[in-house]
Amino acid sequence: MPSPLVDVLTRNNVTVSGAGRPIVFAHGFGCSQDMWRLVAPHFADDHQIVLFDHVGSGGSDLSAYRPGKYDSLEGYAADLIEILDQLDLRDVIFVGHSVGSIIGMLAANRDSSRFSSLVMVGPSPRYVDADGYTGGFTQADVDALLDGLDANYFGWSQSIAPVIMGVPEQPELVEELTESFCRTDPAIARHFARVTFLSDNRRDLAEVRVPTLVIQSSDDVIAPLSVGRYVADRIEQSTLVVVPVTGHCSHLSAPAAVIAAIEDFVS
Amino acid sequence: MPPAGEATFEGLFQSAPFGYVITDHNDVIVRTNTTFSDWTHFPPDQLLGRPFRDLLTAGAQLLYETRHLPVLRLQGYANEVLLQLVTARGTVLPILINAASVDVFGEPREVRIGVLDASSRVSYERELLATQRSAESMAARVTVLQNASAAFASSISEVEIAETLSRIVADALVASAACVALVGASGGLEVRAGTDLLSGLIREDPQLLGATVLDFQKPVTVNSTEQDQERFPGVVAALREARLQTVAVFPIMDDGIPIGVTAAFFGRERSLAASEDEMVLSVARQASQVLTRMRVQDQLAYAAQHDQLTGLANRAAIRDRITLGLAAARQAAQPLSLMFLDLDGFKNVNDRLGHHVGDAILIEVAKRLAASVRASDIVGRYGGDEFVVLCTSAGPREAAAISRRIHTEIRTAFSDAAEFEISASIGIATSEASENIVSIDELIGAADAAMYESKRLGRDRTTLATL
Repeated sequence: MPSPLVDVLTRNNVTVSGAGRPIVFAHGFGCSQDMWRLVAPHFADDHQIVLFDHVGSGGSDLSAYRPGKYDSLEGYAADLIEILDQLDLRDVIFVGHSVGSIIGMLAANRDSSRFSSLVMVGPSPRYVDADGYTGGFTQADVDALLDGLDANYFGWSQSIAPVIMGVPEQPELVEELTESFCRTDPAIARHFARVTFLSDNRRDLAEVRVPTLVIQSSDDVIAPLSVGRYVADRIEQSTLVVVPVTGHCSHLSAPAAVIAAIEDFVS
Repeated sequence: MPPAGEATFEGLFQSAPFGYVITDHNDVIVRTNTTFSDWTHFPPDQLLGRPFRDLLTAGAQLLYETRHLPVLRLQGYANEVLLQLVTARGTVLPILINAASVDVFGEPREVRIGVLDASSRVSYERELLATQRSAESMAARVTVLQNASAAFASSISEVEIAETLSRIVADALVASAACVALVGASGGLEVRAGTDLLSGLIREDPQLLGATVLDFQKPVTVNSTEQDQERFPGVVAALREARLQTVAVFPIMDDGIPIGVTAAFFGRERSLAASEDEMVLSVARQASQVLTRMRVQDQLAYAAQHDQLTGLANRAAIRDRITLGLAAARQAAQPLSLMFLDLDGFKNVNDRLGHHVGDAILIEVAKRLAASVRASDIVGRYGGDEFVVLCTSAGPREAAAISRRIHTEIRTAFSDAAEFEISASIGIATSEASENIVSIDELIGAADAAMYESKRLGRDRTTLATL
């Protein structure tokens, strides 16, 4: 149940447009709802389009960030359920990219009543290799990513962080920041990276009861083809579509193929 | 422009002090300059046709794919991105790149990437970061401990201390939830604060996770691994049920004795660092010290109010209750009765069978009195074999009914002294609702005198005093 004291729609920077069968888009690690700008508008004619930012990303309310709550993907899944409850959406087509698709899966596993189908773009239930499972990465790789995040936010946190806290003499910096794509708080990005790349949600796949489409890039180092197959194999009612594209963000590099796959699946 | 000039420009491009790479919109390298090929030790023909991201370390690929490429696509450029490149010799070269996307008719056609060698920047930044991080984590630990002592110092009850400990543990470990369970009077663990998300598991699991920690006196972390599945099958199943992946349980030690446990619950698999374990144990130690101090104070407060032998209210406590009772009775315009009771035949038992039997009789009398009175009445031991019963909202008639039950109870033979006859002489004094103000000493004096009147009239009876 959403708490009446929390404005869920502000917290998650939820934007709603269009009318028709609802289609909800969830972004992955590293970006924000901006990620869907080449895909979402296509559905505007006959769908209610719902976009949101995970708490800590994009235009979400950073003050809502609670490290304990967001130390697992369940915390993000709880937020998603609250958004669907708040908007009272039913028969939802959920489209998630990367970790966003895992969050959607967890939400649907908790309460499938609002979901009619799941579309998982580049999902990986576990990034770190384990006995008998190849996620494609080692713990050391993830540590290197965390170091890389620190290094890349080094300049960011020094020069831009004071702006967020309100330095009135440089309004143009605030402007620039709010205009920039995929903005995110460095400390939260670091925690989100940890949670994203060190989670293990393999066992949750078998619990999915919603028809699911897995959209897999033919060449993706983040979520390799073998992982996409693993996901599709373990979800009961699932279809795997391999899009001939390089990279993890097929919704950006091959939006037409992603749109076609979604339309095929839901029609 | 003469051909020589172009050749010179081409030469400048090829040997510029920075790498230059052009990829197609799928990240595949279509052109590089000589500097880049020299830095990577790959001959140009081995670079062409390869995705740029293939040159990166796995960790850098994660950043490149999830963060850099989306920003580049959406914004058209991405500047000052720090990455790690693996050279043909297997060495890692830190690079700083600026990338710009070139669109034709709105479609991304190619990406131009300027590459700088960032080795020196990276090495000092890494040192700075490492120093900063260790300073931060040290400061964070000190803050946790300081806040803990302040919070414990202002806690005024056992539950408050448990709540404080539970909150600190959850915050410090970034846990979904935490709870604190203390060893109770029965010897079992009782949850005093927070939520046991494993619903009773800390206490009731057949594998006894809580008990294991009390025995080990060391922290135990249970994940969902096969090994843990064998050791704690109940715990692993309950974790799954609660949508959790890890629980860490720490003993709360008091001077070498475990007095409880604190548990932290996590929604993803976590392994705690030794420093984290140490921090929780030390906060738990602080909590146990405050708890012990509080328990000693509680014991002292209890001792000041209770008779050590029977556990009944002692003389001081019963006088306090009479004072309060008189005030409350006046306020509510209700009668209040005080019963004085002296055992008959007790001195004989004490002399013949010894003090320890005498003590056992007194303990038994206390139990029988407590069983004979109403829930709202207060039983106390006034001294020796003298007891009092304070009956609220009771006039002489109600008090006499209670005294009749007491007579019957006390007359029943005592197993420790079956051959001795023991009874009670009782005096009752009542402060009537309608009467003038009666003082505590008047009430006690009247009840005491009435009790002696019962003795004088032949014992084992009740006399009502007239005030």
